[in-house]
Amino acid sequence: MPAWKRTVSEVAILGVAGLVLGFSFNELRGSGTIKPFKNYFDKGPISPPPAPRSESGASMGTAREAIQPPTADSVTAEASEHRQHGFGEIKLADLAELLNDPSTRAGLNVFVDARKQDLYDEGHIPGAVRCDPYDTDACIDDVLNSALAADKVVVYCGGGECEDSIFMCRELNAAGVDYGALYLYTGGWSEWTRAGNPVEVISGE
Amino acid sequence: MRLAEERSVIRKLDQNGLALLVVRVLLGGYFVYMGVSKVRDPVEFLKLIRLYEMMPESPAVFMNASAIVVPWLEIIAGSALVLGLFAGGAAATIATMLTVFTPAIFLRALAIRASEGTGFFDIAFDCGCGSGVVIIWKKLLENALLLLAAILLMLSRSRRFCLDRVLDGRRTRSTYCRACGYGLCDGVDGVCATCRDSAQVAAGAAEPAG
Repeated sequence: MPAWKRTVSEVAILGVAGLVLGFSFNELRGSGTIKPFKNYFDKGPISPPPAPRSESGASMGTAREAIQPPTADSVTAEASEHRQHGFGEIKLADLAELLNDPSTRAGLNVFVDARKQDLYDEGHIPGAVRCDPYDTDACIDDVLNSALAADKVVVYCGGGECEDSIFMCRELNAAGVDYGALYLYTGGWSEWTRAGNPVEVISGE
Repeated sequence: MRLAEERSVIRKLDQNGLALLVVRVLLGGYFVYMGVSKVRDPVEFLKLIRLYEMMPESPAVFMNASAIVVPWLEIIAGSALVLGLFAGGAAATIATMLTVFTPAIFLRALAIRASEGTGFFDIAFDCGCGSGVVIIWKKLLENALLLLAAILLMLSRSRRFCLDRVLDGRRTRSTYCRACGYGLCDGVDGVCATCRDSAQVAAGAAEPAG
């Protein structure tokens, strides 16, 4: 057999082996499975309400006055792209106020952390439940238990260029959470901690 | 004359096989390591693939399949190269992957340079290569060297220290020369034409003396 034919056939064998092993392992692994046909990067609500809301939490009631103006570094190309998600946003001051609101203690406001487990364990917004937008099967039921009955569901991730909170919002919307109840905290964990707000840590016990 | 000498040096390297063994182990081991680091967190790899904007987000199957298969292709090709099993094909597979990845990294670096105004030599990002955030010009240089090594292995016909040689010997006994392990033999006596000619010349030279 000519050398080039041999090389081509070897490449084909290795390629098929890669396909078989890749998909088999993907199916068998416990966590981190990628669903081949699922678009993980869909943005925007599935069922938007007729009237679009303002970006700065106009429906946040008494928290409206606490809205902070955007900082210089937040007005970047990434940030403007970040806002093309179609969900309502909540600002830092509004969120801090919401956290101390009696309705939160009554379980009417739910916070969802869309970051990885280890980051969540290191610290998260008090009371936040974790759900990974890329592995919702493992957590969506827990979140829905409280989110479906909540007035406001605030979703956040790392902040900056992180888009996982957007994808989590879409997942929750697809699972039945009302568009009007979903809020994105785009400042995310980095802004929350930078401002010295309270955090909750999962102890190693 | 000089060219012939140089070719002779390359051929000796090829025939000796030790240098190729070292290159094979290093290149193959590197790809196994990179593949394993991606397999650990395929979702993160998927997110990084997306940033290259090389594939459509919808239908998602192409991007998702890449995140599922590419790490395993790296592990399999790397392992095959280390073992010397399908060595030519493994080197060609790795060379193909590097030929796709390297221009993609370069183009993304250029896009970042254009959008952020960062100097090219200051650009650093997680290229999805399995090694986290890296200085891009260094990564490109590294990939060029890896590609060179993969092409060298792909073109080499030596199968010394390769499982291929053992398997070929069992299967056909005629693929590679049993004398030099380099040339393709014609099945007559298990040696290549070059070795046979050399043996005949040596025999011819020995006759008058005898």
